[in-house]
Amino acid sequence: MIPPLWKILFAYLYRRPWQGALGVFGIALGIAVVMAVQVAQSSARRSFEAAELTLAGMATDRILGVSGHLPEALFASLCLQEPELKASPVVTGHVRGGDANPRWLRVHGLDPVSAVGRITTTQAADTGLPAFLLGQAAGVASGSLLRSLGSASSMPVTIEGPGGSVSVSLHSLRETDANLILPEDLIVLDIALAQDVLGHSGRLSYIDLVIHDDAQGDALRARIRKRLKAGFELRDLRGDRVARQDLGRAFETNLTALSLLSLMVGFFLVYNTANFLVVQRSVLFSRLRALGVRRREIFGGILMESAALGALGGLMGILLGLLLARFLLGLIAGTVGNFYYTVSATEPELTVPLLAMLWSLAVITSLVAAVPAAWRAARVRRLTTRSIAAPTLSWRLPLSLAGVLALSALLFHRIAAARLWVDFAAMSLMLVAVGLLVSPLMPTLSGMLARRLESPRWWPERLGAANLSRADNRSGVAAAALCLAAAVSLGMQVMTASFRDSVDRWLGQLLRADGYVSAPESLPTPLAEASLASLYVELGRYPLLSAISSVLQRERSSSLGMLAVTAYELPAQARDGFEFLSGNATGIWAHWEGEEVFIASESLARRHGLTPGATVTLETDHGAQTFTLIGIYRDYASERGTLAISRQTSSRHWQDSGYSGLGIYLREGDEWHKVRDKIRALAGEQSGIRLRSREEIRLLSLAIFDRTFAITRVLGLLALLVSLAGLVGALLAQLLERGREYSVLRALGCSRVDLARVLSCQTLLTGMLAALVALPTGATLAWFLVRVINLHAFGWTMDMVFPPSLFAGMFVSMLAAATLASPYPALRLGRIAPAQALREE
Amino acid sequence: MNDASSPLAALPAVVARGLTVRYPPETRAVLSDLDLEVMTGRFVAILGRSGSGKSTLLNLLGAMEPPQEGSLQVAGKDLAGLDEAGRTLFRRQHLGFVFQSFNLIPVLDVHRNVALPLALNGLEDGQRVTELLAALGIDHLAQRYPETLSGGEQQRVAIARALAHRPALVLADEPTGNLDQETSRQVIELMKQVLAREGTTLIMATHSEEAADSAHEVFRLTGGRLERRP
Amino acid sequence: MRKRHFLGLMALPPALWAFHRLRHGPPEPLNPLQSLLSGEAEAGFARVLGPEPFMFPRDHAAHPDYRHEWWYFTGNLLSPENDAFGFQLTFFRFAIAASARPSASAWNTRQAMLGHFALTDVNQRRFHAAQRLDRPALGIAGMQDTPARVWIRDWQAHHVATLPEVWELEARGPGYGLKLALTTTKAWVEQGQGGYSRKGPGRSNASRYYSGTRLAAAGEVTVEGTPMRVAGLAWLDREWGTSALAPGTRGWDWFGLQLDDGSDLMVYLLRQEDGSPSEFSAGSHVSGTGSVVALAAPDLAMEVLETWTSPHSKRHYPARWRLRIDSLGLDLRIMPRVADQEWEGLVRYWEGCVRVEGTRAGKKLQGLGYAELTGY
Repeated sequence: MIPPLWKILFAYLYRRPWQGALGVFGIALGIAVVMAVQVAQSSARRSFEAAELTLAGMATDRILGVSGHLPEALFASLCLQEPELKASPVVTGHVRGGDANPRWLRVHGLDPVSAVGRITTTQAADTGLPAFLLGQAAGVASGSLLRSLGSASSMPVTIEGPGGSVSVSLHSLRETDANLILPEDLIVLDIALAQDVLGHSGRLSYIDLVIHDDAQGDALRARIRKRLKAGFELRDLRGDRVARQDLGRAFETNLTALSLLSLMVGFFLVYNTANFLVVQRSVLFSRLRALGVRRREIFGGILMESAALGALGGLMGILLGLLLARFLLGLIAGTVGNFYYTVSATEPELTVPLLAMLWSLAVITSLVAAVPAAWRAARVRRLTTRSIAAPTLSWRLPLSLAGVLALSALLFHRIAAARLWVDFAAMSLMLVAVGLLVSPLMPTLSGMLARRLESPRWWPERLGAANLSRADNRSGVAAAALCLAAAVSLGMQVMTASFRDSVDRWLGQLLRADGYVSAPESLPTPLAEASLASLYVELGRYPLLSAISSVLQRERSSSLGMLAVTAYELPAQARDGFEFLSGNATGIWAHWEGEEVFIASESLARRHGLTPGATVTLETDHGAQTFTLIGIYRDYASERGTLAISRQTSSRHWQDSGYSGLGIYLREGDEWHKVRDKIRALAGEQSGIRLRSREEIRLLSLAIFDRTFAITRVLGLLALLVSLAGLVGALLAQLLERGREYSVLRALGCSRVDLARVLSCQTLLTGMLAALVALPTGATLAWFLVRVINLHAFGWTMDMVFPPSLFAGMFVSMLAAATLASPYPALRLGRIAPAQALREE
Repeated sequence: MNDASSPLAALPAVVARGLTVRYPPETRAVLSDLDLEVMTGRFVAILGRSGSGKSTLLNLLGAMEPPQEGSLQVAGKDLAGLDEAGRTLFRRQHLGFVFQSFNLIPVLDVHRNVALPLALNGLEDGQRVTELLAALGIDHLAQRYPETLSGGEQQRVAIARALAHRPALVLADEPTGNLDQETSRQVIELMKQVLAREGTTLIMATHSEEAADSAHEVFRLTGGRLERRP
Repeated sequence: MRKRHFLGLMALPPALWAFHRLRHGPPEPLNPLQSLLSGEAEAGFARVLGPEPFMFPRDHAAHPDYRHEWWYFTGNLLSPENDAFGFQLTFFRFAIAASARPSASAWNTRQAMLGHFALTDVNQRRFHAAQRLDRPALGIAGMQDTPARVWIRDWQAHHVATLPEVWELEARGPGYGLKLALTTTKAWVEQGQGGYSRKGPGRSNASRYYSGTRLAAAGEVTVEGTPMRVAGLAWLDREWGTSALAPGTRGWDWFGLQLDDGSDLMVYLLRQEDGSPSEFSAGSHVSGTGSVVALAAPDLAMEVLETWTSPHSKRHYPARWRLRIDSLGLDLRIMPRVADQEWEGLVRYWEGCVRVEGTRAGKKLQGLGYAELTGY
């Protein structure tokens, strides 16, 4: 009996394909978003990993000099003392390259005979890398860099560094190995050539080691550490890598959560479609049952059909997802590149496991979503001539279910607080609970409204409201979907607004200086710091300003792993910019310069559980040094957190003469733009330093913020669109069910306009109810996101704002959406002929 | 609106000449050159098997579709010349319907169901509704919802609804089709009485000879034409 | 009808995967040594074009203008407690580029150095092998001219120009090591035509080749941390050249045998791609008094009696031979002292100590030696 049943079901869809289209479309969209997010994320991660692996893939440890370089004699003595050791020397620096448009390039000088990255196992110019580089004026770069230098492969390019100028023959790597990626601004040279052109004679930047993880390896590490003098350290590379990956994870989790929301909405659409199709064919099912088809077979048939729709939707979603992934990758690369790690633009890569997973997800989601409808279809009694009645939904079941979910959510939260995924789970449970409540809420409220509409003038509206009050859960589900999508969208908007508000106020407090100086972005860091240092000295000579503040940013090895360490020089005016959450300001500034103390940004303190009095050991030029925490301050600049010390303290332990940035404090009565021009003249017109007023910095920071959160806006909008489609579907389903009723009204002489009024009333009520529930839910969600999730993910406390414009805007757009949902169904409605009333089933 | 004492009472409620309806692609006509004349206040039954074209005839009489060929006047109005909006208006003001499957609005209670045609016309007349309900013996059901009523009760509500706005003509399509014999007889009797009191013309389509017996005149629809039953 | 549709849908992901694979292809990484050596450009290197007299002790040191060169030490050692060992210590030098640009950097070089050290513990049937690969810079690895010395980290071979001459060797691996003094007992043997050893049809398919066929070895071997005094006979092969092998040569079998009648026999058999022997195979026989007889391919009748399959690489190596040199009346059977002496890693070859038994003109003969099998 099975094949013919499928044929029957499928034949129906063949004739009216658009009816299944809604479900297909819903799944496609959900899958597309999930896929796009996954692919874009993994591409970004992969390109970062690939770059690492290309140059230093197998290295497990690294020897560095705290000051930034090591003597090459250290390498020689290390190799001779530990003959079994696999070590590879590296020299790095910056040069200017290119004949037509010179630009800054990073140099990576390695020994191709002993190098530990994947790059050594490939070829350049059809010859092995050592043969290409050793003893030659040759280098390797990415294809895109070669193009930007205007050089065809292997044409000589002039590079100029502190050690001199060399004409180098650059070549790109063999293109068939997709896992070899070189950063866009990097050229790889033989170590001898690198030393020559950088003027690093006798010096190395670091030494990569490959040490096994066994007793011998650990003994080797211990011996090496003992031999290293103060000012040199042996760092565990793999720990670093893991730490850096963790950073991006919080960001990625947010994206994944949003993508799952889209899938959930797709789920609702399939649910709607399945119900819709079942209702349409209720007569068919009753006849089939009369003919002897078993319940099981009908159940199975509906599920199969839904699975087929899901499979088709999955495929569409995958294709759609590819396009979306490209778009997202661009967005992500911008955001991620700003804050976490540089990403080279790569093609999104499809892997079989990913495709298989997505496709199965589509099919499984469709199957599960169709179960209730299939169940209902199977329960159709034989020979019934009535259409399938809407099940009456009492309050009790959803209410108790919602209560259970909410309680579990709270319980989760208590048990496993501060675990990000638990927080997300709790939030999802609460959302589902709200969704469940919407369904029975609608009949109750509509009923109340219907009873109010006494006057015969409002009979269409009364009928519309009365229709909704029928405890019909189909519109209820659509309303719930719309409500949830709106709530999530609103919640994220409110969270973003709160965040932005906090950042804005923080910036307002933090930015004390009248203006800020930084070096041009294209300049490599060491040169940038040096140019600011010379400007600093110049500014000191002229009585131009009332005060200067400065900042120097470094990565340092510590007892807590790699930390961002910032050295501040803070005149009195600048000190007010710090808002201390823990510790007393007067006390802090008293100890600030003279003692080995530090202050920590909030996220650093939270991440490592630091409280005033805690100590951290940092690697300095003279060896390890312990610092004590005396205060915790508010800071949104980075989720990793910063350890801040005074410039004086920094000078005692590290030899660093540069500055990452300067803050300018004007004298009384001076104007910014005049002083700015004077400073620019001092620096020299060629220097290209950037001078920005406080206001400019503030606006720039906010602009970066907005760009970062562009992604969440896009995804929120998508979710809303999908749920809107669901609403349309639900209306159409309902139309079908009550078609007879409407034709009776037409027979009784009801005009098309009146019928449209009935329908519009329904959609508007649905939209309004969804909106009314969405508003408080969105606010609660925002609260949860700000106070719980972001606190755990980023470690920032934020103050909440609830801008009325956001709420009003959401309410209006939902009504508008609901209104937009009516035209098509109304059109279909209008076509109902009154004569249908007379036809028997 | 009609009144038995009105001078219009002497005019025919329905005058149909040469009605022909063909549904493509069938070239055979469902109704073929059909003539009918019904005087005001009469109870006419039209007999015919299913598929004989009863519904089509009722469609035309009920101003649901315009006649393809021939002329049709109901309550003095020429239906052929009306557009869609005109037909809708006509139905709203001058026609009442009773269906085989009752077709009450489930979300409205009995009172409101009956009041619906009045509301459609922008009128409110609670007393009229109550009177009709009483006349049909169902005034105790006024606050009930259709799902909770028996078949016979629902049909009585339908009859009341059909009369609420005092139409000139009531069309009944197999009104007893879903009722058992006993209830059928009761319903037909009631219908006949109440309509007679109102002075409303009633045309009933049915396949039951027995139901047709109650009518003043009986026609049989065969071959697309009406023949008077002896 | 629907089943077919389903199957069609199911086939899509694998089809996509296959398409993706075809487009990008499986990536083929080179191993570092291939990477090191690959590239046909051999212009600019010095070539061996004909016989030239050797100049000792100068020629003991490196000849950096030629593409490749090695110092190949092998030998069989015995301790007073009858612990038998075979050893191989090889220093390879590769010139990566024909010339290097002028540079102030201590790293500047155009050479790479590879060391192979193997110790075969005959009684325990164990084969220890270690490898070093380094750039000769900063004293980590290097070559010295006077006195001739070559080293890679803590391995070295050092020539002492006394009379008789001595090569001092030192090498270490994880848990084992070697420290030997090799003393010459005969004059250095010029292989081929006065050192012009041809390997192929082209004039430059040749290397300069000399051997120390019988060096008295004495010193110390350390196994699992335990040092043992040992003595025995060693062999040094010195070769340098550029593109010595003709294209189409698949590999070779080389034997260096020291017989108990005081004579030494060196034979190399080149193999073509199709497995057939090359006409440029050659060898030499050194008598107890030091007189040298050159052997050519027609003189050598080699028969493989057995093969051995490596459990690591699954390759099949010949494992027992019968070598007949009628012009010398030699009929020898050669067999490895330990079956598994295979080198795995950057290069794959079999190099191990062998035992010889046979007759010369009817008289019974015995001996030890080393064999090298490549290209399997």
